[in-house]
Amino acid sequence: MNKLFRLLAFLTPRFLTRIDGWLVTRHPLLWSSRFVHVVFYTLTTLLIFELLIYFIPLVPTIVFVPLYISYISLVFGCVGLGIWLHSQSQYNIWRSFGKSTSSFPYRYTLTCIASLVLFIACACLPCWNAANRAYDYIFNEDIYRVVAASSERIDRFSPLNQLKALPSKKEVDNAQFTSRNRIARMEEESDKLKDKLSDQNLLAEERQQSIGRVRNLERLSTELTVALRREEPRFWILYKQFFTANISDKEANLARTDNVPILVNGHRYIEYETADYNYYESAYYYRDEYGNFLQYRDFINWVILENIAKRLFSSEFTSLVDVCHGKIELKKNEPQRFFRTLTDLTSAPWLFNLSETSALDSEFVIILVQIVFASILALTLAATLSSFFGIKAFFINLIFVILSTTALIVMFAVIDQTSRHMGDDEIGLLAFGLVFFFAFIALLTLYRARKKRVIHGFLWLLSSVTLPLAFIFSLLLLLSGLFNIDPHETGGLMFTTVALLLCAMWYLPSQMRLLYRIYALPR
Amino acid sequence: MEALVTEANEVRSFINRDIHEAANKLLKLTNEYSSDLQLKKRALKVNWDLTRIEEENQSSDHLQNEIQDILNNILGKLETQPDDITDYRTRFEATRQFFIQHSHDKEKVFCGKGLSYQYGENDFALQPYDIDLYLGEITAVVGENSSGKSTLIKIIAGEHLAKSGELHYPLFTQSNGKHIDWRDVKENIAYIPQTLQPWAGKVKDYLHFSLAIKGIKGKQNVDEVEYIIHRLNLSEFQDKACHELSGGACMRVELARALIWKPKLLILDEPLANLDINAQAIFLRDLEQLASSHKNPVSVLITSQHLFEMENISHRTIFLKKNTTESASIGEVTYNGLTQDFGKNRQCNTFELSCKNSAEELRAVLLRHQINDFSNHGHYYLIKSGLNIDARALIKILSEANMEVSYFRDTSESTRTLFENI
Repeated sequence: MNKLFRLLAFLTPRFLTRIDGWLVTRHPLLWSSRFVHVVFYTLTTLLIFELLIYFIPLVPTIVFVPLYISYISLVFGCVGLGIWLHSQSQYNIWRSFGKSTSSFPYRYTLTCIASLVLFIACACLPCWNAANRAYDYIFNEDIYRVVAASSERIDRFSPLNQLKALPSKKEVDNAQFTSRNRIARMEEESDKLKDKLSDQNLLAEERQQSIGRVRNLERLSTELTVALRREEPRFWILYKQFFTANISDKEANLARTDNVPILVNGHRYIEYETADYNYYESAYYYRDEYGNFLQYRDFINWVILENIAKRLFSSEFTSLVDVCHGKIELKKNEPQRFFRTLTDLTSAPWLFNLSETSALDSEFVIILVQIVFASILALTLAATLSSFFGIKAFFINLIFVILSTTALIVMFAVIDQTSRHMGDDEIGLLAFGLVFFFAFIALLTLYRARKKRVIHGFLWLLSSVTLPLAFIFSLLLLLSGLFNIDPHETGGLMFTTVALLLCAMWYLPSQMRLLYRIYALPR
Repeated sequence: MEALVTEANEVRSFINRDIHEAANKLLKLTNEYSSDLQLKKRALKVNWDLTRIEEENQSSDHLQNEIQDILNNILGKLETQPDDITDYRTRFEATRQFFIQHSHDKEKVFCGKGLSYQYGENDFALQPYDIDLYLGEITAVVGENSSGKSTLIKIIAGEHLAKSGELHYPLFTQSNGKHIDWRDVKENIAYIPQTLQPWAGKVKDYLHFSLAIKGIKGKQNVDEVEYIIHRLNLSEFQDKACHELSGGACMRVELARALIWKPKLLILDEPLANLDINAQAIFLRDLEQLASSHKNPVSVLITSQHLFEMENISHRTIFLKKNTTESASIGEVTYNGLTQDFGKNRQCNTFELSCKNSAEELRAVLLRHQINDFSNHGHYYLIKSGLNIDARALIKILSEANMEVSYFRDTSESTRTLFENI
């Protein structure tokens, strides 16, 4: 670590050293926060990687290269954050007992938030932009051509609404739904259609025309299926584009959230989504009306693609997005939904069906991790409270553990729920990130400080971080349901940001003053 | 003005007799009367050069001239000042002298009554004690190992919460003895623990930062840091980081950090442990000067195992003794009072002695003079005599007997005797 600091000192430009020298004698708080260094290094890294990503030409064979390069900025951001945290633990402003002014906690809060935002921006923005650029490229250059060509031909097709509903999963043999079987089944259905057409004594020309169109569509749907199944990431990209491209209406957006019942050809499916920890392997899964679980791939294969193929015959079809969302029935996002989810989680009937899908495994692991994490925090909280108030009785500790574990699980459920509510990878993930970030600070404090003072510090961190977060996300969840504010839209994001800032500015300074007092307390 | 001239003449009188004392007094004089950083630094440099010259056996003539020059500069600056400033200074000096002369009672910084502490139900316990600390005084806490010295000062520093008793910090916060605003207290005291916490960055930045958060900013900050760096001879370390420094250097940096903002109460836990003998002497001299400063008097509370050094500089001494029983160990304050008063009512004189002769020879000599309390403590002998035999008489006895004495110390008026239950 010392070598690293020495290297950093060597790499530090002269002007930064000069600014440092000026700050240390006039603005010690700003100096100790290393904010000037944070601004310089994060913005420089950001600029370099953004330029790099922008200027690297995209070629189909190496379409993800800019994304891989952008991961370096992620590493830089994380390492920088680690170094910054380490430096903050060393310049312990609390231990110094300086003459603090009333504006001190506000300035400190602002500096910390700004530093944190810069590090997150440095770590995430290049990856985000690189990923978007790659997906845009793939969609525009590769998939869209297939889809657009199909759409143009489909648009000229006349309606045929005689298709049967899909069989439920119970009646379906998995082997039946391989693409080859599906094409065979389509051909069979086409034949039936032909017979039907003949039975209806349609004009020969029309019949021929319809048969021709049906065959044409069969070929197109086969092409589409093959194109979709060609490569795993592309399949996912197409799926993502189906569900995200051109989404402007709220209902379509809500389709991406958790627990939305989807009606496909009269069959009801409920979409579940685990938090999007892994960009490429987001764990979507569905439960059908019989209580069976389908992984999202199976759902897409068995339900959506089948549906697409069949809708290709339909005149209602205007675009592929409409095909996916046209018949999706959405419920209004009620606040009660959270409690329902909570009941689902706690009763956990799916725990008995773990072997069915791998998605459930990951969901189970996440919940398990949350419970373990909550228990650890609860134990710390209990120890803190007992040491703080001098309560030694075991049963009181036990009550604390039970109560605070429950409270923390509820809190995590809120955050997790919000995470799903907000979409794939933004604020919900950030919420988790924040919790772990402050837990990391707490660990550092644990490392730096000693004995009971550590616990006091931990108490402060716990209360100063988790309470505002729980407050903000509960409020956000309730408001989004009551006023139909979608947190994923710009207004919702602005609301979240403002709420976070207001809460931070209101709560953290008061907690800092408390910490000031706590640090001064004798043991 | 008159006081300055008197002190300047005193310095001059020492230049030829004892240049070390002259340099020392010059340093104090520049601290008290001059605001010119350059002059202060020159006075400091004289002190450090003297140490170096002594080690290298060089002539110190040029330093005598330098002292004269600094004195002339200080006095010259006063003379060239406009009349109104001189008048102001004269009046200020008169007022200051008045207060010094008429303030019979020194200002109390801390007052503790019945303070006690217990680590665990069957662990070490510090028995209740009373303690008062005054501005301008050094209070030394000495005693046996594990007798509760650090615990005692930690209670005063607000690191440990006393199990019983009342604490008052009249200069820092208003309290009823029970509920104290520790933040206010800790903002006004400087506490240096035995185990130092590492810091980040360079020594100079650390000092700038420490001073700036105490509200001293800008040019004053720069000047004060530069001065303290020179004063504690930290120039060679100023661009180094904590991990690059030795234990002694780290302690000096911490001292610099504690002293730089001129606290009213300075609490030091075993500060001499990591200092070499020269550094110890300089440090103790600095401490004495800082405590007795007219401008910014400091109350110093210090623990150390260096008993005699502590007795030399301290105004008050607290001696702690450890009593171990079957169930627990207890730390008790066995002496708490003025250092100079210790041993006034003693029953005997005590001496530490080391000589090249055998124990039998020494015993025979001592027995001839009715000194029969004699014990061997490894490297030295502990001798107890009646009050009629003082140090001078004992040395005479030993020299008449042709004893080759290599070490001798009169501990009759030292708390050293408390270690032996004399």
